[in-house]
Amino acid sequence: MFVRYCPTVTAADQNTPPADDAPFRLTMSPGFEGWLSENDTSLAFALPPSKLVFVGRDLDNRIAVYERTFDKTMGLTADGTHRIYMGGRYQTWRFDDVPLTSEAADSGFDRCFAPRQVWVTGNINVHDVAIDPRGGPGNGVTLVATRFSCLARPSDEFGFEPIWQPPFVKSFRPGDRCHLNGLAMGSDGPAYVTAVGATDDLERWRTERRGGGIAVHVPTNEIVATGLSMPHSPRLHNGVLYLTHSGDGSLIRVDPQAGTWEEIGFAPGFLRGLAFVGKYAIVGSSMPREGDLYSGLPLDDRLAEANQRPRLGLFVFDLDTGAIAEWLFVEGAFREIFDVITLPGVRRPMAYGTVGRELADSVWIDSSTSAGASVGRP
Amino acid sequence: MRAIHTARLLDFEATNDDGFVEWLERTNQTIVISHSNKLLTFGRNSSGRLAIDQVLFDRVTGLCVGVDRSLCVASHHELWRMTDALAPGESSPTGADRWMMCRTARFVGGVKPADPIALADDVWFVSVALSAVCSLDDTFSAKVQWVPPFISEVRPEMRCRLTGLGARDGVPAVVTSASTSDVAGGWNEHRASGGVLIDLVTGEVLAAGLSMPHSPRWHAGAWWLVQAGTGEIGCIDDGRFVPVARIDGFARGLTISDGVAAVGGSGSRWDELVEGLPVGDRLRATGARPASGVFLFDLKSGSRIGELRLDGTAREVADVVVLADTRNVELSGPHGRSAQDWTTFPTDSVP
Repeated sequence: MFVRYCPTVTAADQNTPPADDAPFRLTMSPGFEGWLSENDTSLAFALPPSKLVFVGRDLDNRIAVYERTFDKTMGLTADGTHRIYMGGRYQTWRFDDVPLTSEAADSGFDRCFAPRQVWVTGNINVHDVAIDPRGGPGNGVTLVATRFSCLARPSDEFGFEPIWQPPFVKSFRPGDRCHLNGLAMGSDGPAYVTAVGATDDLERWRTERRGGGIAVHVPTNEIVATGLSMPHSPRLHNGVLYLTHSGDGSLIRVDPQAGTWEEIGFAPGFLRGLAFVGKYAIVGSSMPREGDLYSGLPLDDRLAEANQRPRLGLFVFDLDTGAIAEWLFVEGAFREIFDVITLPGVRRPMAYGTVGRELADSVWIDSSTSAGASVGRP
Repeated sequence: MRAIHTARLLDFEATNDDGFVEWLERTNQTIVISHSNKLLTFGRNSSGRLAIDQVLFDRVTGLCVGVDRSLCVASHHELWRMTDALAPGESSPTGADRWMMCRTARFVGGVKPADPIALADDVWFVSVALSAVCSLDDTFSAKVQWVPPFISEVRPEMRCRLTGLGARDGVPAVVTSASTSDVAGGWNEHRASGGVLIDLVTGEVLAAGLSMPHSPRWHAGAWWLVQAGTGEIGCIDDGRFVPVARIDGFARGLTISDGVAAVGGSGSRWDELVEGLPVGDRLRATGARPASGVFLFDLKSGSRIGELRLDGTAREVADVVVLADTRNVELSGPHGRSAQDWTTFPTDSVP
């Protein structure tokens, strides 16, 4: 096991004023903009409680930030680069790309996401959101319904449809019994989940935060990793299972067959939210606060040992070396990042929100629509 | 003499006669209407008295009941699907026998949807802004399915003002339009008598000379509709509008059930809604009480068998539907506590 430390944070290379008048600003590592260009990607991250933030680059390859406000921003997932799903307080949204205005296109925007559908799930405490490539109702969208300790599908008929529970949760009933929070989707559907404890009593997982965390293989119900502190964000990348060992401030690689895991690297923060581009892992980092759910964990000791304070933002790990290659910090009133996604090939994304009249007043019509179109039969 | 039951709710007052509740009781139905930015339900409580529930939406422009007993709500730029949270025999916390909850919405932007028809996997509606019949689409605000023959270009300009969409045997079949204007906002010049009923398949004008026609409904082998501008309810017979009943208000929203027409009425005497329309002239000339609310007419005799009047600041009834086999409905809206605090799941899919 080895540990890499975050590069010393110096004066920000560039401060990008965020869109609108949001109470946060971003600072980044000197190479962050170049890294975005080299990897030809943009990023989006969920900054609870209220912001969905897009990070792209303008026509001069400088960082370009776009943010929107929602009622709680939780799990994020992209279906290709034209569709996004996001979980909220009691809603889950589907965003699709919509035609760009010519002004936006001239400014270098090359993708615009607009909310096109919402499911009212009720407050089931949605954490991760992922897409089952096999499809199904709602295009295979799968939610981690933490308040019901299950995997679920959004539904046009019900608040949600439960599809799986961990083996140690013995019956289906309301309540956060194990803090099921993360979902790694595989090519054959849900593959791995993370939970804070292998517990079945209401809120009992809170006593398991320091080392009772696990990863479970969904198809076989087998526990494939144990001894973790508040694991989150399991993801399969090139066939390898990665997850954030949040309470330890580290990114880990799991060998499910052997039931072992190894640390890839450390970063100063409660790591949660994980996405990949090439040999890089992009990890979200939140700030524990004394007495909250994210404090009193091994992370506290590692931060003290490294003489570091926790950071809110994104860390980019080089998977080959475990080193932190780049970082992007969020400064302001926020303390948490829940999830991060990549949008490969998209240079500068923008989005509509649900607040205000903008979405309500926008009309996108197919310019090829001809007047006098004859009736189609439904 | 009629006994009057009055319920006061936030910003309006509902007053109904016995006939209104008697019809609901006899047919075991509940009426749901859109009232400006609310859905209102009129059912009966356990002692047979009127029971009202209400829930806030964005401005509601149309309603329909799906074949699966779901409720489709066209709400400004959203199309909501509401489903019943109760299993047969269950009751809601307030004792209703149906509990309609918002489950999902599609965002259609500024196309201004109205008079939706919920199909198996789609919703068709008139886009008032585009002057076209549309369905749901993922890429564009809506998929244009049909454009009136007199509209030369699909633009969000509210040219002719499509007002209603009628289905026959579950298939969208006709539209009502306030005019045949092809210029932006042009419908406004033709409110008094420029309205038409058009066959979607042939493009044929089935009736002309109508005043703000709305809510075309197929019943007993004929197209029935309301002329909002005259307040008349009637059917089309060989291109002619045959009035059967009339209200002293802007008639919009029509459901025919059990031989009875449930009609929505809107507007006050000096409302711009009725300005320049025959019904507005009549209201001012006669001093008649403006008909705002829901009115029930026996279609055979034309006689009014019941009414529920709504007084208050909100006066626009956009649509009226009935839910069959329902004593009373509780509503949970798209936002607020009930949307957060309640959820439903199928017990048979529980792992």
